[in-house]
Amino acid sequence: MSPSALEFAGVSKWYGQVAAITEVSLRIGPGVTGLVGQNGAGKSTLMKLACGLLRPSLGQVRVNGGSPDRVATRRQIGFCPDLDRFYERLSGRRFVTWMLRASGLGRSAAATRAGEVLERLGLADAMDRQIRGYSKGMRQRVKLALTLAHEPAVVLLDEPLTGLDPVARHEVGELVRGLGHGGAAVLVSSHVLHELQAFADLFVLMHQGRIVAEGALAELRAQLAERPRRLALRSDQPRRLARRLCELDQVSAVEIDARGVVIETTGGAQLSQRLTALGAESGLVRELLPLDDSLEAVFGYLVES
Amino acid sequence: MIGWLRNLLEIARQTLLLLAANRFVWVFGVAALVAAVALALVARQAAQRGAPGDEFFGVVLYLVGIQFALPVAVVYLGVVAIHGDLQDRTATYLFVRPLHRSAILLGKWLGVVAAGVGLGAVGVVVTYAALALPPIPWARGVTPPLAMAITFLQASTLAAVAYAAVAALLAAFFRRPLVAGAVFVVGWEAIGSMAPPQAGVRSLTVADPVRRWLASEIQATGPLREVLAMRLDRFVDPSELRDPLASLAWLAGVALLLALWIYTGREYDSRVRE
Repeated sequence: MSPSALEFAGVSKWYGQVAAITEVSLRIGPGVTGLVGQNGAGKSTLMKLACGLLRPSLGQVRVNGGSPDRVATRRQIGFCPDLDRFYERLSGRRFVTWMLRASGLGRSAAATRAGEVLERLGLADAMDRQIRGYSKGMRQRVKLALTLAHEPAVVLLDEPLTGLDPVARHEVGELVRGLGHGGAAVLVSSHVLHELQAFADLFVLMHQGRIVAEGALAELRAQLAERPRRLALRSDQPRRLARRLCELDQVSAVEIDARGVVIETTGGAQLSQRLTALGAESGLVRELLPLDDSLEAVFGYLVES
Repeated sequence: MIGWLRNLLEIARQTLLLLAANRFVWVFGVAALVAAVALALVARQAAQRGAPGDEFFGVVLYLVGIQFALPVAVVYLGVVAIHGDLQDRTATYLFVRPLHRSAILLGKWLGVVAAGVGLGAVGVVVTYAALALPPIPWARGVTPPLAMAITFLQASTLAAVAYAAVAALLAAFFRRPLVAGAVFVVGWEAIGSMAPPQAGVRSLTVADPVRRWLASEIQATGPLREVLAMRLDRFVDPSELRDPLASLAWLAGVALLLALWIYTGREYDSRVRE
């Protein structure tokens, strides 16, 4: 197992009688880990526990072996909150510089670092304008700049793609991927699951304050082996194809749509071979597409189950 | 320790700059200038009715400045500086940085003290300029003395330190600290300062020790003497009362310690649940 930069050991967090997080044990190592869950699943609470903003009611949180309550430990953490408030009258550069200076950096070092990181995030032209005139995407980048300015070993990004346009999303995705490749442990939550899928290596799926699954996407899908898979078969003669498919034991449901046939099956490699053979033999199958290998589908199944 | 101190001073500097951009501060400045012009006109009439400059200057500064404007301004600014961040959650940015929360709170307190001292100085200087510089025919030819202005400057500094500490406590503890601040300034200060000294309640006010300190520093006469006189003094043996500076230090110290205890220990998370 890779060394864990961030570790939750039996962590629970209650607000009065409401449990936000229940007995979460989790180890996050270098690379990008996606945190997936619906609203209220406990994603933000988990991140706030990791950066010391909240304290666990039970259990322990460790960042590189230290408690996030300690100032020395927080030097290793960069947290980008799901928050759209700033000191609005400051410029982006000044805001980041102030925060860096507040945490001990000298005046010129802070200003230089702030300029570098804002430029890296594409705010070179806007960094000296007041934040209150920034677009949502620019504001998000200021937060990211602040998060990354001190080059933390553990990066916590709470919904970093919110409000970004597609180009900016792609850029932020690349940035996050780069951080992971650079050796940082990056925990990133997002509702945009298909984009999370594009840059995260591992996933943690949360539901109602608990972790329901964790691992690479393929591993998560494998946990659902007994569950029927949905496959789309593109065909010019869907009715004929459907008739042939109904004869197969491993096909439990067949549905005809405009572009072909959608089946539900519990069959694995053997069925794939038969479908490939069917396509070659009769020319009925033009294309075979798995419909539920995406993160959304896996997450949906896990939550249902 | 040096790092902690540096963080504290940086937070104080930032707080002061943020407060300097606050609309209230500019309203206060404009109001002070308008009041100065009005004061100069009123002073001329008072002088014609036989008021000496030192008494008029002292009464105006004490009743308007020390008892009303300064507490309102400092408590308001303290609440804005400390609770404003918590309310709009921008404090999150500071809380997750590698600096101790005690440095954040004390830095903000220091910034508020600096702002309060600045506003107090503006108030004293403007009042002095309005009453001492124009040729006003004061009774017995007594113009407002510079020494008295300096004493009031010192009093406003002492008051700013203590009021800022009280504001820090209110901002750290209450969900609606402005309401609590208004109750403190308008209600508690008045009631506490009037209470029999034996009750010990006066130690929980800023107004009473500041008034006692001013009374000990200024050789007041006439209406100023009455204003600075201890209420219910027939019940009081002055030796039973704590030294005014010690009272202020005690109040400010306890308020700051309590504020620190709350601020460093509490989880400020406006979104209790996602």
